[in-house]
Amino acid sequence: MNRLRQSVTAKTIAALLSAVFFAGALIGASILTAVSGIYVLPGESAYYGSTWCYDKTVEIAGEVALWYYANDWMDESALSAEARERFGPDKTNLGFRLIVEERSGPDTFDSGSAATQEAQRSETVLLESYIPERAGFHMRYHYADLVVECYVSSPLTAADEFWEDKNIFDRLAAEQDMISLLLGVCAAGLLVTVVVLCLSAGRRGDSAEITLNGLDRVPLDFYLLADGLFIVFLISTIDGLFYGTGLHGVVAVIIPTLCYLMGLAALLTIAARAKAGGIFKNTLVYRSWRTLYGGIKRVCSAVTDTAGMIVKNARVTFKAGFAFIAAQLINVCLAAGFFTGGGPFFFFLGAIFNFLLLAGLCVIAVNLQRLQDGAKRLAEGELDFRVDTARMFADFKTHAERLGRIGEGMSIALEQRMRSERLKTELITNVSHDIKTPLTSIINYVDLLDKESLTGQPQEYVEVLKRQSARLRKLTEDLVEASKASAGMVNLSLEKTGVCELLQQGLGEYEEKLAQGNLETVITAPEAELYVMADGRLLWRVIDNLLNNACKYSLPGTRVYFNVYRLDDQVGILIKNISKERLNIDADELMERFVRGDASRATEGSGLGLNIARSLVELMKGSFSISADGDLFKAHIRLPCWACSL
Amino acid sequence: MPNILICDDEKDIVAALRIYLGSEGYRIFEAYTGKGAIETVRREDIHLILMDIMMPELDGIKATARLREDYNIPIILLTAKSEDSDKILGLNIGADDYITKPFNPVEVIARVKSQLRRYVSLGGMAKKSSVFRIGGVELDDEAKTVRVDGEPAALTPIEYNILLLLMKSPGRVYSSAQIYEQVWNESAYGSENAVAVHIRHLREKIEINPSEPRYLKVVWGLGYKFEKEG
Repeated sequence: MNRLRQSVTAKTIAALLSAVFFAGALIGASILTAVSGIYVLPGESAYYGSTWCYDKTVEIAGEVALWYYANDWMDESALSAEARERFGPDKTNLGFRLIVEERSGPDTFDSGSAATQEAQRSETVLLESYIPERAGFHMRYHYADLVVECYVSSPLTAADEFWEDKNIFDRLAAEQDMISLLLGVCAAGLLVTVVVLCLSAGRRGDSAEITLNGLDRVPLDFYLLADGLFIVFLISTIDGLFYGTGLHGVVAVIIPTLCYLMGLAALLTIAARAKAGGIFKNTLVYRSWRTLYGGIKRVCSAVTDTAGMIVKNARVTFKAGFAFIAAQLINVCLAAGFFTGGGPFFFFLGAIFNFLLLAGLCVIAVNLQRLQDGAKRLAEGELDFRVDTARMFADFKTHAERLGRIGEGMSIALEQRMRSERLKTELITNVSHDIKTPLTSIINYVDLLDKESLTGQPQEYVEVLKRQSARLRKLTEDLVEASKASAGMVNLSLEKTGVCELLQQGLGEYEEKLAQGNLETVITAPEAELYVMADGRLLWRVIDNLLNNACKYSLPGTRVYFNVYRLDDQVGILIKNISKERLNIDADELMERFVRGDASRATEGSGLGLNIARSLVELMKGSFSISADGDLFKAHIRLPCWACSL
Repeated sequence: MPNILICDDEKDIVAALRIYLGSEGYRIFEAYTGKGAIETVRREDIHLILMDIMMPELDGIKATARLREDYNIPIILLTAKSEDSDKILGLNIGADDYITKPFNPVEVIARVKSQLRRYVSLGGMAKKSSVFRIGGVELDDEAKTVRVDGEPAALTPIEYNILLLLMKSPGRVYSSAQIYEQVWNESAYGSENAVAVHIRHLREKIEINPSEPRYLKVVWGLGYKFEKEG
């Protein structure tokens, strides 16, 4: 049941059913109203008292009037003959007399009694078709200045529209009970569909929540207004359609049904909104009120906050207020002096006073500007900048001095940090010196052992010792270098350095190692040499580390690509190689100290290479990044180009 | 046979060096402090000193300075300090060479030999105009021979020409392209790699430790040069 209620198709069907019920009820009700004949004349068929008969009479009378207007150029006898011919008792059941009303005497607008006005009126019969012996219905129909006095004969004599209507009418009148039943059923159905639709409004699918559709989100007042306007428009079209199309019955049913559907839609959206809550919140009126209210509230809170701030900081505000009032008082006094006859003297005095006041304000503004400037420079890292305190008011001066003290504190802290960084590096350097001495002995004696022409197991042990002591040596060297590079304790001499030349030199150094790994190198570079501002020795260390890695970790038989390019004021070097092992760690992590591509640490190396490379590139004001895309390992160096940094 | 003094406070290192150098046939004297070294030099006829820098009583730098007042025997410093500034200080004070710990025994022997040859056998030889001599490297353009510390080095014609070009104007930096054009007599077009490879081979032939060359230096990003003497 719930699913049925919430299915869109079911809802649409219910709405259509509802419309059908409405139309049925409308038809039934109108038939019943007509048939039950309110104006029944004694001894006559109910048809003559019904609106059907009335409407038909009006329609035919209108046709007669129009006909008359179209033919009144004919002479009277011809016209009369034509009328009898056209509207004879065998042709139509409507007998009529065309009358023109004339008013005798001048037109007066004075308030004569109705009786006198009546008396002044006279009637002239223009034309008469026939008057039936017995009229079931009689009316006077005014059409412009004509009056058509109509009589519908009883019983009907001609098989015209009246006759057709009456036949249907009589048949319907005989079926009154059936129609009442139909009306009842339609009314009940209408009620049920409306209730069901209201209940299911806002429910959709399997969700237990109320979901609003697009229309439900339109502001309610706007929606109702548009809906209402459309209904009014529909109703306004009724008259035109009614007489224009001749489809009376259809128009009389369809337009109200459409109106009903519009009304139903409005009802359903109200129902859905009511269920979702906040039926009035989604209205233009409410929204505008909220905006307005919010604005007012903000203004009010701003005012109260400012007032609160002024009161809380009474000491300062008192000063400012006092100065303001004093200045105003002096001005008032001077003005009073001027106007009570002091003349030029007071004017002169006032001018001087206000000039001084302006000068004071300017000085305050300049002081503030200086303080702001000082704070800005401090924030930008210019820690030894001091605000010029000359010609500063006392309060501003203290502030400036305090700013200076902040700068001092910060530079002390910075210096301490630098010193501790330096100490750390020194410690590492010293420790590694102390390690080197015993290491020398180890290496030498292992070498001596190696020369003792050992065989079997002992020889293998010595091999291990040799390998590991060599590694320890490399590790200590790299450790010192890494800590120096990251602390910036490297002698840096930035000079014009050719990137391609350096790469060629490097590849020359690595020729054998690359051949060992069966690695091919591909350099793509512009024809003209690109120069960077760098320390060639340090840049070589970077390339050295990267080439070393490429040899160590590349898949044999692959290519190593070197891409040198210029972008704006930077020169980029991109080195790409295919990794032998799966890179199972994050690229950024690789740059951390002691992290290596193969988690097993099977190969020699300290894991410091990339870290050193990054530190060195950064020392040379460049940037270094690495990335891994599947097995493709990329190292990217960017350095300021030589000509650009001049 | 030349007498060599080994001076280090670390007795194990002294013993190891004694084994290496002894096996080369040198007579070895030992000292464990700077003071001991000076006393030994005064007492014995020493031809070369291997001296550690960090030692008790008198360190290697001070001992070297004091020895230089009276003697001109070659002194090679051995030290764990690897900073450039330490090397420069050591060489300025009068040391002839410098080896950082941990060292490769083979390198130590090579350097010892090199210093001894220059001290003992090579005096002031008469200089011909076709002979270029810088440090321990001597190139005779007439005989087309190259000797390093008196020992002949076997160079290929291209290596020889490169060395000749660089030694003609020591200190001047030649780019790979320039070297290629001058030696091969062709325009360098993507062949600079060949120059780098030849230079490396050349370095392996004339340098004791090719990765820390004394003569044939790489100026990274610019080219190559032959270091000026002094």
